Amino acid sequence: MGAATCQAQIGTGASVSWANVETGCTFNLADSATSTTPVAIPTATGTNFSWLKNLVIAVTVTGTTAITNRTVKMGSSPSTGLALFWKDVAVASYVQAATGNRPTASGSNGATPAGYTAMTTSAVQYDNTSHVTSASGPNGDMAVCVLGVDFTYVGGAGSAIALPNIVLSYDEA
Amino acid sequence: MKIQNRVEDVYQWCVVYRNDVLLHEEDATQGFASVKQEQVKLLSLLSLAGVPSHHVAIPSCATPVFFRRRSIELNPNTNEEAYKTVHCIGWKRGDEATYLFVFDGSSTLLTDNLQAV
Repeated sequence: MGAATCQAQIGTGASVSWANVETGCTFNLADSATSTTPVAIPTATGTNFSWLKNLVIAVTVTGTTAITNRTVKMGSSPSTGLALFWKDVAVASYVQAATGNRPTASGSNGATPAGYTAMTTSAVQYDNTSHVTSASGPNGDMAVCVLGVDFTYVGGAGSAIALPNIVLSYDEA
Repeated sequence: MKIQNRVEDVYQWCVVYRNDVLLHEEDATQGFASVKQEQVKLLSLLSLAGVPSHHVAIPSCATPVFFRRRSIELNPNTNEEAYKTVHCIGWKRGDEATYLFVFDGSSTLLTDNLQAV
């Protein structure tokens, strides 16, 4: 054996199911990576947020290595008025995305939801715990992500608004 | 749905102990954690694809360092994902360190910046 193969996955459902999210991830108002239920653009100063997306690095082909230093960043800057946010959550603390745990809308533009950190174009570590890759499935914590859209966004509505790439990185040894 | 192929890395690590015994990655049952770190005198990245190999001598009392930094780049808008791997070998000892990063294509970056990793 040797190195593992990993995949970015999303957790959904009341009893979590993990699925490949490398085929695209729509930030929406649904417990889904594909639904196009839209996040409303604020009609006055303020920020609205999407439902959360439970992202993990998951082992799909096991190895004899261990993974540490899980980081998250954006590949480029988003359009004005759009922002991505993340928080570190243990898989054991998974909660299904729902309207009740969507971050509360803010009355300010550019607001960061409580408990979250704004995603930047520099990698930021969200979990440095060492986990061996001998078991398939999520390896380490989730990077729970949400999208914010504020009143300064002028890109207009649509079901395919472009977002920056999300880069999940990790060290394997 | 797409499933990523099994990782095919350009390099494998190999250590030479102070008694000249070698340990290759393919023989390590627990990855780099299998290495008897205090006994290593040379840490190498051996090429598997016809590109140059790389070697770092490990000073006495230093801890050898190896990892592969892998990135999965998700495009939220399409199903175009990208994978990148950077290999790193080096050592650290107290406030000293040397790290050699080897990128795809075999370009390298050598640094003694403790914050580099």
